[in-house]
Parts: sequence; C-alpha cells; structure tokens
Amino acid sequence: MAAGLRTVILLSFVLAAGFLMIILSCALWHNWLPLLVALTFVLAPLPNALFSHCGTDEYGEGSGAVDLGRFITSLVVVSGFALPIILAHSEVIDPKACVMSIIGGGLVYGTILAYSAAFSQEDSEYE
Amino acid sequence: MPLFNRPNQRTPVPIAIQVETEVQVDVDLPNQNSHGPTRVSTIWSPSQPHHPHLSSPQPTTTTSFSSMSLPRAHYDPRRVCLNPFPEFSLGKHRRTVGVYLAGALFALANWTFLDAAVLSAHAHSPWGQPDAPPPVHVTFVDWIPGICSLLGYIVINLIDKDRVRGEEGFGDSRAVWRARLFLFIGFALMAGGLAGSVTVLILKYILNGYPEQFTYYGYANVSQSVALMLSAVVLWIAQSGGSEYEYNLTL
Repeated sequence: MAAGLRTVILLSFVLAAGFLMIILSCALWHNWLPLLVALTFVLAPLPNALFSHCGTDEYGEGSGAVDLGRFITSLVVVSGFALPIILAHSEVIDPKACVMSIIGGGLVYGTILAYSAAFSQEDSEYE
Repeated sequence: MPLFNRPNQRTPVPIAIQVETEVQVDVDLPNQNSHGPTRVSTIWSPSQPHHPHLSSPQPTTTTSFSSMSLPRAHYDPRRVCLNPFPEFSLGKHRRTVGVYLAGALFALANWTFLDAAVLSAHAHSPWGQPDAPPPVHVTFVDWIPGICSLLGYIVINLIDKDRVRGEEGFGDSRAVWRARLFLFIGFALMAGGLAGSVTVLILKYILNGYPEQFTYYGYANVSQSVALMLSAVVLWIAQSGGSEYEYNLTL
C-alpha cells in the first residue's frame, strides 16, 4: 500500500483548511450563501461514484450511464465555481468572500479527487 | 476484389500446368475487416530450349478474394451529414474528455443566463442617475429561448446514434425515419432557441436603446444558446464513432 497514514493526515488537514476557508468567507461578512459551495463540492463526486458501477461492458466504456455520471459531475463542478462568481457579480456577497469560497471549494474537491486516486487500489480488491 | 478477377488466360504453349494453392493469408484489406480465404492460382508455361532468355518459368498469378465487397468510398453513404466530423487525436480518452467538456459547457451556458437573471433581480439604477429605477428586467420572454434550446438538447441526446445511422437489418426501416424526424425536431428547437435569443436581444434591448448595463441580459441570452449548441456538438462528437475498431485504424 503506497499511500500510508501520512497521506491520510495530510489530506484531512487540507480538507479542514478548505472547509475553514468556506466558513470564514461566510462568517466574516455575515452572509451564509457561500456555504452552498461546500455543499456543491461535497456532492460533486457522487454521480461518478453512483454511475461508474452500472453498465460497463467488456470494453470498459461506451455505456450511456457512465457518460451521464461524468456529465453530471462536470456540471456540478462548474456550478460550484460559477455560483460564487455570480453572487459576487450581482453584489450579493463580497468579492473577497467569492475568492475565499472558490479557493476553499477547490481545496475540498481536490482532496476528494486525491483521496479517491490514492486509495483506488483497495476498491478494486473488494470486487 | 473484382478488379483482379481476370478470366483464365489462354497461353499459346500447348502444354500448360496449373497449380492451384489455397492459402490462408492474414492480410488486411482496405475497408474490409473479414479475412476470407485467399485463392492463389499459378499458371506457368514450360521453358522452351531454343530461347535461353525465356528459360526461367514466368508465373502469372491470379488472386481472387472471396469475401463480400463493401462500399469502397471514404465515407459511408448511409449517414446523415455530408461533411465528416473533424477527427481529434485525443486517443483513448476522447470520449471521457468530450463528455466532461460537454457537461462543463452545459453548466456554463445555464449559469450565464442565470447570472443575468440574478443580476436583474438585484439591479441597480442606471449609472449617473441614482434615483431612476432600472428600466428593464429579465422577464419570462427572456427565458423562452433558453427553454427551447434545453428541450432541443434533451431531444437530440435521447436519440440512439446507431438508430439514426440506419444500419440495414437493424429493426424496421420506419424506426430510422422516425429517429431522423425527431433529430430534426431537436435541431430545429436548438436553432429556434438561438434565433429567439437573437430576436430578444435586438427587439427588447438594442432597439430600445438601453445602456450597456442592461443589454448584457440579451448578450447573456445569446451566449447561453450558443454554448448549448457547442455542448451538443461536443457531446455528439464524443459519443459517435468512438469504437475500438476506429482506434485501430487511426493509431
């Protein structure tokens, strides 16, 4: 197992830093709308996780359900980045809160991606 | 191949020996993926002693392929579009990258218009006149082109691509006709959405002479329709013709 305990600790620290950024961007300006970004990025890997196990043929690709999962994943990720920009554009939230929530959301999603990439070997052993 | 299928040659030499050999050759023919048995028949005439330069046997090889012939054109004549789609050399991950890109474009399109709607709901008065109310808002008229484009997008992507291509002996022939009709309806809805957004931009925003702060709503509407069409095109390219056989041909 290449990814050890140190990886888990590092990833959890990064995840905590991402959530800290998002919560700070909400709390500093008393406007809790950027919390939607955290919700979006937490939900982002869900469609791929759901649809990747249904309907893979012998070639490993070409299934409509897998494509749908990827489509929804990319849609949710782009929504997570677009939401604070739009809120800042119409001056609902502060631009600094927008930047902070985008950085925090990127950290959270990067943590999830890195975690699934580092521990994907164990997933395949169960099957 | 009928090109090489010559009739049996009559040689003027009275004694002719014909050797017929059946060889299984693993040869890749152009536009044919079936390896039929290859018949190679060799005819030669015996050497004549008073002609030393003809002493070596001259084999005449006739090769006939017994596999069925497919259309040898560069394009499949049964397909819908006349111009071939551009080939991207993204290799094995072409389908994945295309689907992700299409999803991103789809989200970008809808968020562009939602940006205009949110901006209109929190609109300020025009620049320089702090007391005047904003002269125009995003109303239901602005939503109609986006809804048309969205419906067309769904219709286009719900159609099976193999059904449209019209394989022979694959279901009934009326299904192909119906699939093409629905594909046409989908494309018409998307084009209608684009035309409608341009109409709204011109009639509602430009002709009334609103400041640039408000014509942004119309431009956002147009860019939503354009991005939806781009997303549909990217998704179509990513999902059609991504089979293993074409990878072997291109790589």
